[in-house]
Amino acid sequence: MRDNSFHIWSTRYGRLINTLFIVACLCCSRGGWAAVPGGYQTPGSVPGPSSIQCLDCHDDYLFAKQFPQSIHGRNGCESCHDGVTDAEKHMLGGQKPALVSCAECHASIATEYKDNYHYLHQDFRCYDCHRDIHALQTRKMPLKKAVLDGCTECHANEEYVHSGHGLAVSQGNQDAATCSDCHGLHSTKVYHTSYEYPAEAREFYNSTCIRCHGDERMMERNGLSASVVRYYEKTYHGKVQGVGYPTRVAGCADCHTLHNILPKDDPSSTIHPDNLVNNCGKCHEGFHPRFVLYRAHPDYSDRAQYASLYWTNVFMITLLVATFLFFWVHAILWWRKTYWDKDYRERMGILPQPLIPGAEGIRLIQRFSGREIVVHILLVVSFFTLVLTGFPLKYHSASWARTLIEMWGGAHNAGNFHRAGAIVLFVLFFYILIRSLRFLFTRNSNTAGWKDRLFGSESLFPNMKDWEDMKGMFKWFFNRGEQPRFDRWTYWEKFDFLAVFWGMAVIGGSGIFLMAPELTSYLFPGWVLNIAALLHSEEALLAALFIFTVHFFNTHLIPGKFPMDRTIFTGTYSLEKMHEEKPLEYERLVKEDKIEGLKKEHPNIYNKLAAAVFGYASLLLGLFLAILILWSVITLD
Amino acid sequence: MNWRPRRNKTMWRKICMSFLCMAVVLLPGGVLRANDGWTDIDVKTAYGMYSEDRNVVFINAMSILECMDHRIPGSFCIPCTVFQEDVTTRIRDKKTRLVIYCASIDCHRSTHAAQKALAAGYARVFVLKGGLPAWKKAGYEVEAVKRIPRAGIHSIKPKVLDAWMREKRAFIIIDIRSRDLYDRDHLPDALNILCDDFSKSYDKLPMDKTLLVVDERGHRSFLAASYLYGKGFVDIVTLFGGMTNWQTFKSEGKKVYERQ
Repeated sequence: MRDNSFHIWSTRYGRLINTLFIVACLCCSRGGWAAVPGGYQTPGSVPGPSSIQCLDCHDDYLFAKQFPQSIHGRNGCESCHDGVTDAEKHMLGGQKPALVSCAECHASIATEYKDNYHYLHQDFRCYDCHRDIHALQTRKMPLKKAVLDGCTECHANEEYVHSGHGLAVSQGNQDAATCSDCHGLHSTKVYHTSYEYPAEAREFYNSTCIRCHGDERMMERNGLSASVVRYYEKTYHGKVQGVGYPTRVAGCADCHTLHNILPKDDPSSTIHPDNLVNNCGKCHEGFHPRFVLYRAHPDYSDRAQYASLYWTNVFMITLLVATFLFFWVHAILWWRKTYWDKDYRERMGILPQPLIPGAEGIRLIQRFSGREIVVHILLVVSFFTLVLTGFPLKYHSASWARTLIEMWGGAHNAGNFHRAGAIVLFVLFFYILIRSLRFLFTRNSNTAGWKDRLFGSESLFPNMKDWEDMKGMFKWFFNRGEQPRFDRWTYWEKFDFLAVFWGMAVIGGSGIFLMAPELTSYLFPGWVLNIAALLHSEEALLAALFIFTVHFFNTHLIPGKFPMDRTIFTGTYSLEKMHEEKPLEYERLVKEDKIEGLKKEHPNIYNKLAAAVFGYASLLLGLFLAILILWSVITLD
Repeated sequence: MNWRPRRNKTMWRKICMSFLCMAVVLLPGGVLRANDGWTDIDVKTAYGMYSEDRNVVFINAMSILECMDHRIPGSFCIPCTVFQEDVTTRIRDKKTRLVIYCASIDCHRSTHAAQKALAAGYARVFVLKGGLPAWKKAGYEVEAVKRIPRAGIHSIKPKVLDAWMREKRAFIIIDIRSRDLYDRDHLPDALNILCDDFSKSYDKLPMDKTLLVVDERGHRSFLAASYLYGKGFVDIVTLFGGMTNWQTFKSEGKKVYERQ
């Protein structure tokens, strides 16, 4: 009966409807929805039979009744089942419809789908998931739940269903992650993470976690904190991930697992305190159980929860600000004073008078021994190695960080170079320590006890004269007195020297802990590593910026020495310079009749050239790095 | 005064020759790589041969079942297991270029088949790098001659399988890997049925028990399971990640990290 009435109706209005259908269907099928609404017919295409004719034979309930009601119901059969131009031929079996190509309308999905795991390995076609394609209705349930239902047809994942994400999705939460939020919907990646975890997979999944968990508004409306991502990025794990070498350090899923993601107060969560030893043990081995007290997402500004970290942070910031405030102001005032004085002399036509008349003034005096030169060169090389390998991690999100780390051949190699640089620095440090002790405890004719030597004129230890010199310098900066007369070591040179001892204790000590975090846990609880990391990072900033700005200015860039003082590379400077810069030392040596013994031959040209190449290269590299670091401090910190 | 040392002409010639040889070997390396007699080719080169060269045959070295499901249009279906016998009867001209491919990136059937083709006397044998997935990824079409309708088949993880085994749950394991892989290591009481033999032996499988289909890496078991589903078996599952995943699971998670 149904078919009969339909047939009568269709023959009565058949011609008109046929024409309308042909036009409508061909518009959709060949032109694609993207090109519609106006619609057009592809030149050269031949109009085929209408849907009405199709339904004469293909009269299943699905096609005749359900299809017209479906969301594709306004398209004709030919929209998808293209290629039948003659119903007669088709009925005789001579003409078959071409393969269905959903891409003609859903082009962007088709492009995404080209990389889909299910397509590449299982040759899934659209209708393998969208099985009810002829009866497809507008989706009634939320997308997230629909996706979950679809994926779990094959991928039953009990862990996900019971996880925080799974529960929230099933309760209708529109933010919680469903399958497609991490794995992609039509772009499901070919990361077969079950038996291997390639670097790209970790990087990809980290980015998917961070996309939501770094979204402050989304986290806020779900009662979570978006800051955990920011805090994580300040840890060693986060920094190595951030610089783009995610293989060997913990990404989100390494600790929180892939599907069994639960809050830490849930006993079956991998981050529950009882499970942490196992969880950390997936990568680390040979640690004391208190190793797990390490904080993976520490908040430096939370005084109540992370008091020790908070105060360490405050201390380091104060130290940084105070040091740079003092020395940068010192440098600026110094520069102003010398430049203004020079201008005054030029204006007045005062020519500089040699302090030592005749050729005697250009005789060279030894200031540094050969060993000291070698130590300084090694110090420069190891320091640059440490800065060039460490700072890309500290400022991992800066654009230059990745370039630098790639120059080392990846974060793993850079880490090895960093450790090698640290070992060289340690050796130098102990060498200098032994020399200092030998200086202190070796008797000589002039001084009686070690205290005299400690505070004597050859010592690098500060004494009352340095305090007076410093006050004198400030008075001189403001034209309130003459420049103080210095002995062998000025107070800023002593600061440079002693700062290394402080730096070595802080950076070196924390560095040793960080180099062997598992062993450290036998001495200290895990959160000490958080403090060590903070100290290491901030002290490194202090050291690098201090060397590249203050040390460079005081020894090389001040007017008078600009652009470089080669004394540290050739070991000698002129008697004239000595008289000018270290008058007390000059007078003392003349009085003690030692000056003749310190006179040296002029260094040869190769020595000078080598000094210039190494010195200028170091200066330029240092200044360039100072700009990068300062830029990152301003933009990222 | 002539202070420059004289060039040793023979030495110079030797250096030039060695550079020339190196260039000849290294330059085509980007596209072609000679490999024990056959040549690895990338998808682009393969497509060039496909669309232009008439004297070329594409061979799908997977099982007939998989090859008929989807293949590069016009390919011959010659399973790796019977390759040597089949290829000589079907392709008589030994000068024909053979492009052999597999259905997954890490499958060795194509290289095994290539060895057999060389042994059978074919001189110009090529292996498609990345196999069928690479072909599809490049956007080239495939054809389905006898497509196996995809079914909603559950895949279980090794953890679940381990629990099943401990519970002594009644299920039948069908291992579709090659005989030598099966002999090397297989699940207890697993039946080794290759996809090629499915059509002959599916009727011997019980309908009232759960069937677990296991493959190398979890790429092929789904299609085999879908085939069985089409034959009326309803209670079928596959092992997620295949035997590789199972072996990783058994060797305790630690190795996953070491492997990186």
